[in-house]
Amino acid sequence: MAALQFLSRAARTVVVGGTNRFTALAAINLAPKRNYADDYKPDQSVMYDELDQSTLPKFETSNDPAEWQFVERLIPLALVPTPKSFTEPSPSGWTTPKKDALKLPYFVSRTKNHMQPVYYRIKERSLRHTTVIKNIDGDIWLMGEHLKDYLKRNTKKKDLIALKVNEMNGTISVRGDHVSWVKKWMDEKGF
Amino acid sequence: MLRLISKKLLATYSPISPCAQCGLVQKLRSLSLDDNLLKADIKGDYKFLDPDNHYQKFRQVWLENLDTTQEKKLGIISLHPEIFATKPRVDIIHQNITWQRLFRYINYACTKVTSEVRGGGRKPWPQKGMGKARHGSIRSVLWRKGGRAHGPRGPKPYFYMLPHHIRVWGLVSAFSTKLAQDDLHIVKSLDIPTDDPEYVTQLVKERNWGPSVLFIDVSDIMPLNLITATDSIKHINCMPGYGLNVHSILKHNTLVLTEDAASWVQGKLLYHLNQIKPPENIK
Amino acid sequence: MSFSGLHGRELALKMLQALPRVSHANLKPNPNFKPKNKRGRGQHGGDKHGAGNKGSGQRQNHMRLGYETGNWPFYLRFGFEPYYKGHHLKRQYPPLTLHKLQMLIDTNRIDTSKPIDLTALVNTGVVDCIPERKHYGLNLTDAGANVFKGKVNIEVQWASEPAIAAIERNGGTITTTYYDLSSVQCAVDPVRWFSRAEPIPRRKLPLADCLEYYSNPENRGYLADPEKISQARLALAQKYGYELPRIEDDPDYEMLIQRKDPRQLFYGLEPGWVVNLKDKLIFKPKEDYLLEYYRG
Repeated sequence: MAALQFLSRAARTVVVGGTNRFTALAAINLAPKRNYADDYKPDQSVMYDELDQSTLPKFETSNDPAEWQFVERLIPLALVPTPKSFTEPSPSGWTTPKKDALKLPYFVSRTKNHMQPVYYRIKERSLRHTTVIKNIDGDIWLMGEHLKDYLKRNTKKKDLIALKVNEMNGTISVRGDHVSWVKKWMDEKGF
Repeated sequence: MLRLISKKLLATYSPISPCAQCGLVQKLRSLSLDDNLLKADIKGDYKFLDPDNHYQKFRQVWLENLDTTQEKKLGIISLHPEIFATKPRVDIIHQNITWQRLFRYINYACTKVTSEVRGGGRKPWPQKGMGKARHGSIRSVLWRKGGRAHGPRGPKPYFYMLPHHIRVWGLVSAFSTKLAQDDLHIVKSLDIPTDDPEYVTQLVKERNWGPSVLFIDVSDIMPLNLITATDSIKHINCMPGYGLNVHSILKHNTLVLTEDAASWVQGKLLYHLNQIKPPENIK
Repeated sequence: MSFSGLHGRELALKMLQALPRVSHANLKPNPNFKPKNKRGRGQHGGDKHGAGNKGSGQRQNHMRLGYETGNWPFYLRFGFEPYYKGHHLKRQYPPLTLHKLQMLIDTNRIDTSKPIDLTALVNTGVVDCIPERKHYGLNLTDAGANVFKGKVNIEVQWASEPAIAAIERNGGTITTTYYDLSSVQCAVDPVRWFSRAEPIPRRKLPLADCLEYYSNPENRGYLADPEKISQARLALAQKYGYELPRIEDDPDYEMLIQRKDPRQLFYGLEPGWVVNLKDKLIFKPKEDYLLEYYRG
């Protein structure tokens, strides 16, 4: 073992000089090479078709479609399903977006889950709370004005509606918790 | 969208409806990551496919030809606004390009630390009495030829995975940017009459496409003429749909998609934008 | 190039028409995207590099959190604070409100024409049940009982009385069943379970402390006497003041009556079966000892 180690070390050494070069070369040729092919043992990985059925417990195969339909029920949907449409708010409060809303100068599109993009954010370790409306397209400044008027009329905070319009991101942030009022306004508009 | 086209145009060209083009249901069956994850009975209209459900208009693009150097308009294609007309998020494009560059980068720089530098085991001179500064080894960090204190240490991988949705938005922003800047063209097919590179350079020059062009088809088996013609030209490349990435889209000045590739790309990206949950291993 | 009347997204896309081509050369991240280099350099950041003077801070010999420079630390003074003792071992039933269930029905995420169980609820992607966190199933709560309008055959792991009343008021049926953790693991992600070629597990019987709960007809337990359950349905209707709909006359009676065997995990599939998703086959055991175990 020690001899082998010495040889391998010699093989790695960069030598300059006649006699040393010869011994180094000899060491490289004489040192046993690792056969990486020995690591792969194909007989230890057995494919399904090569299995010896007699050694396995007895089983039967079934491709009955009546049974398979129960398996298909367990597989989840890949895409978000399209919701049903309601003329009025659904029992849970979910409203169907109206087609007329597409004609307005601004538009708030639903999320991929068909929900209204209104969120309530509380800044960490702070009392700052904000209502955020996202996915706004079209004339966002006009929407800000309309929303501000609506909130002023309906909420108790008549002169304190602090509203921030972010045109680039298509979002509007309102100070305070006005989620319900904003969603109501959106329902009226048909978003 | 179709309402805007004049009757004269309608007489000459036959516009193809976006839903039929997208062919999403058919595409979904073929493109899915794992067929078992997709329910066999995907029925019903998805709202994201319906043009009447969108505030943004579907983008109208000319369907062009490649069989003559001169441009011929063969029809009009509608492109989905969620993919070809979104907010051009240049910061997300930047994130994607940086990620593509860095995630497979390994910095092999490695300096030697005091203990690794050859020599320096012995105390150079006694502690006291020499009138010299006290030292323990000639290879300490303080010394010339000594070790490096806080140097790079060994192969350092810069691997990280950008979140799935950022990578999807990157592609979508890249396509939107290309279309907005008039650098996106849809062609009927990639068949060209000769395999002469001069034909392709002439075509690109005549149509005022950018010097660098990227031709994209769905499969990686492309017409031989185009492959041979573009093989010798370094800045004009062909790529299959699965190779699409933000870096290549932005690297090439012009992007040329076949009709099939446009449908395929839209189908794939719409799937990723509207899926319930991305699989855990690609998050 | 007229930008009047355009805002946000449309304006950005219009501006791009006039701006130079977006390329690798003119892209940069948003401000403050890259974190600042922690070690200060130069005239203002240099000298002591923000480490202060002397002490453990400058000498990189920071004291551990909670250390009080030698005296008996606060966090070690009190040896017994059993506020969460055994918490990680307790069974948890994350809540599912009736309001959320109604939302799932309204947005077409769940199919009410078939019985609803844990698998169906988790497959919507909206409801979470994580067996790693000792979630033994879902707990149907009564928040939203006043708006609940769905007629469903639902199977949950825990339910409150008003929730049961709300389900039955609308002509539905509710059952509470016990799922042991490995059953939950299989139920929550059946595709993953099947892809590991694991047979469908046989559900275990409830633990001693919840056996009584699942044998009680008032909780609509799956081990309770069906006769007593129908009596309890009537009693609950009288208690909450609604007329109990006759599910026998309902056209969906067959669906509402569907129940699983106490050892069964999925409707229509028996424990012990191995499902091959790729080739769409089901392997069923034929050996006596296996059949005895799975069916006995």
